[in-house]
Amino acid sequence: MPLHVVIVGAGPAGMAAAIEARRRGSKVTLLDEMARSGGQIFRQSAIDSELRVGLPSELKRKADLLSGFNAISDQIDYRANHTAYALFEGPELHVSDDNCSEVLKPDVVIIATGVCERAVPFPGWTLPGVVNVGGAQTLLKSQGVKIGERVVIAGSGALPIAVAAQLSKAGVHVVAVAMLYPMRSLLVHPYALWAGRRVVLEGFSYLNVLRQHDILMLSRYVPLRADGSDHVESVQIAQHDGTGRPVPGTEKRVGCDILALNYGFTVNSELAAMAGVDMTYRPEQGGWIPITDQFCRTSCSGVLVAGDSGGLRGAWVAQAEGRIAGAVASRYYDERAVSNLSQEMSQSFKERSRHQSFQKAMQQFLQLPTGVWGWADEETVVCRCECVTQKQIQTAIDNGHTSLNAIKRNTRAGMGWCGGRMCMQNVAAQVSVGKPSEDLQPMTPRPVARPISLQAIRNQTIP
Amino acid sequence: MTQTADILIIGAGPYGLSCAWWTALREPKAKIVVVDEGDFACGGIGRNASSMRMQWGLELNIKLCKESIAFFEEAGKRLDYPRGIDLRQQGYLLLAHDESTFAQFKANHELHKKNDVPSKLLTPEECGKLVPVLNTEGLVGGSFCHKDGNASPFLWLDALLQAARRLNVEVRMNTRVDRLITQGDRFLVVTREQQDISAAKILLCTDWAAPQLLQTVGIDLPITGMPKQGLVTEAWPEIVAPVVISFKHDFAVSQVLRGNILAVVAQDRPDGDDTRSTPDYLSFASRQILDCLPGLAAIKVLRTWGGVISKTPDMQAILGETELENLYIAVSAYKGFMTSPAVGRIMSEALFDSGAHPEAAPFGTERFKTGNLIPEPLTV
Repeated sequence: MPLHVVIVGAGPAGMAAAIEARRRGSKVTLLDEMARSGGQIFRQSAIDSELRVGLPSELKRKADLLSGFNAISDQIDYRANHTAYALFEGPELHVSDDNCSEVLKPDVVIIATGVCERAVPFPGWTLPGVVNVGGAQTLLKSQGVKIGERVVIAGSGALPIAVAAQLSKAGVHVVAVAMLYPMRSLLVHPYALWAGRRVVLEGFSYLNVLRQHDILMLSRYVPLRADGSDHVESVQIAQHDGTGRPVPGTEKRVGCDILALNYGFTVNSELAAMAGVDMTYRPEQGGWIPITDQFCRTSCSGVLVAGDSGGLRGAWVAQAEGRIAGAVASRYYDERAVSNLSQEMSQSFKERSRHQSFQKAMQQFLQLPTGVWGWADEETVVCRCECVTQKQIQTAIDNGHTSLNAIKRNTRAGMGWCGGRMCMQNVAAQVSVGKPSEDLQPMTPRPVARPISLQAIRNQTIP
Repeated sequence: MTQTADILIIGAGPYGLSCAWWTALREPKAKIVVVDEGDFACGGIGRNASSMRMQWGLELNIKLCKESIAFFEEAGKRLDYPRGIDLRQQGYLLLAHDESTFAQFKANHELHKKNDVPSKLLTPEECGKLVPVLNTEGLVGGSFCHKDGNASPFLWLDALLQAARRLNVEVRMNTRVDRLITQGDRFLVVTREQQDISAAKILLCTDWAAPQLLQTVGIDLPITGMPKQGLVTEAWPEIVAPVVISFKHDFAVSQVLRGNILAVVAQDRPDGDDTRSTPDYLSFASRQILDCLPGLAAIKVLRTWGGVISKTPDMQAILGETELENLYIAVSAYKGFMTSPAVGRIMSEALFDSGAHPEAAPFGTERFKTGNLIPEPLTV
């Protein structure tokens, strides 16, 4: 009997998993929140003419994966516009579209839900016009919309550079890119650079685009504040001292109508946590991440995690890992067959570990120095959904509430629409100043992973 | 190191902290220590529907809740908590879908008149007018009291905590009591963190978990826990003005000041302390809610939770001294938030009165021996 494999998320990991699991004869269901497959990195345009702002090599990878996926998509149960909102032991996965829900009881669930972006709060970061760089990228890729006329980008890691280049290619005036760390610090990891040479080359191509467009690249710069009456009009940036603290006297004011931020990611690990998967706290990889073995298996029977939702690892790893997860899922209950996979799919395993060593080196850029937690002032909102300020959170901490659950109950931080995805890592950082953050327990994971209407829950389709 | 206390209160929920605050007010010289095994609002107070009502079917409950609601009305001032506790007095609508429930409403109404509770009996049409999203089909009638409502349990607990600390009450979180030992006329309280406390009097406010500690001194009281789950929706403009209770659907639905709708829908679960989410809860709860309040269909659920309520044989509080001298107990029987102001006052008096406190006496433990139970006719 072929196993029924349900995959959550149709990004690189999820699509690769679907292709592989199908190839191995599994019955595959693939769910994705979006109207079209691709995830963030391979996002497809919702309109007919796609703005081709990516690099040729990147676009080719995207085209290859999408055509592989399209070739099998009619052989699987592919459901766009579907949200997985709860996962229980079993595994038992609850999914819904806008109107209906369904309880799936497959043999194996592969969580490939990716990450969401993370910003560090500072005065003015909640002004309209301050966005995540991924948001700017989404508008461009899916709708061909230029997010603004004059864009300042601030952040760390690779994504801000890629998006700055893509925006420039689309004709947006990128006024300045303020990076937390100089990219040359990668040079101390020659092996990692070699292992990730294809990614590095893409990185250089993007840097080249920035050079061609004569864009002001600033290393070791941080945002001090965003100003504007009802929309961001300018941003003040300054050099930092190496620990994230701004150096007085180095301030610059830059006019803009969009400020795009990215200081790392938060993994979408709610489903895994809800099912009781063992987790560990790794801020530079995206917060609380599910612990997996080399076969993507978690502590919870029948639950696999692949790609970025298992800790930030990039699209190359995600694709290789998706293939592995798809194969493992298809043989999940045959231990011997699973252990043979490391031989049988040695290419995928090798590719994954090679890119992972590069990703490890890249993670230094997402290791936020302690000084960044001083950017916010007392009135800065940390939890946007519930409008909780830095001062309120500090008061709670000073009153002796040191667990995230207690701070949530005391201040409402994390109780809102986003379920804490936007603020919890930042609250955790504020709590763990001077303490080992490994001891921090996440908020109790509970359904629902995404907001879902009462009628959609009630209207349950019985398969 | 053993610390000493005149009064040790175990449990920093609304009962524990209200008792601490009232006691500190009454006995400013007494050394009062409150310990809790968890952190802020880790028990039932952090997991309830936030509602309060005085329209009960038993005079004892009416009195407790009338006094408490009067206190909630001035909580900001009384506890010096300028932020306030988000009290929202838009009333409480009890729904009867059968004649016998409505007959009980009528009997209650007579009792309410006697006790100055401004309740009214409503026709199904009047209920529908009050709550336009209500399905009035099959409805026999309702009972409404405009003084009832809801408030934020979190703000209430925070107000109590800060007020108690200002009166020099020592509140220690993350301190778990493992055992009580009698030592002469005092108690030695053994904690897991090995910070033992010697106390002259103990007040046990651990609600459903009280038997764990009572056992260590050989006391057996019929207190059990029962899992309950709830859900909260996104904030919405006012759509359910009063708190709505349906006995047919076994739920309380309560829209709070911030606009979120809280719903606690009872689901058959065995007694115990299993706080895990059950896979079928959400679909069951949404069916119950939308059968009664179909107009809420489009509103999105943000989160669910699970907690434990306390149960006693008559679902009434247990208040007073146990058979062991100087060991007191206050168990809420699923009304902890809404009765905590009055219970705090009563217990602060009971702790120092010689002999039985007249208001606590009916809630005493003797009733389980004598069989003089005091059941409330209508609870969800």
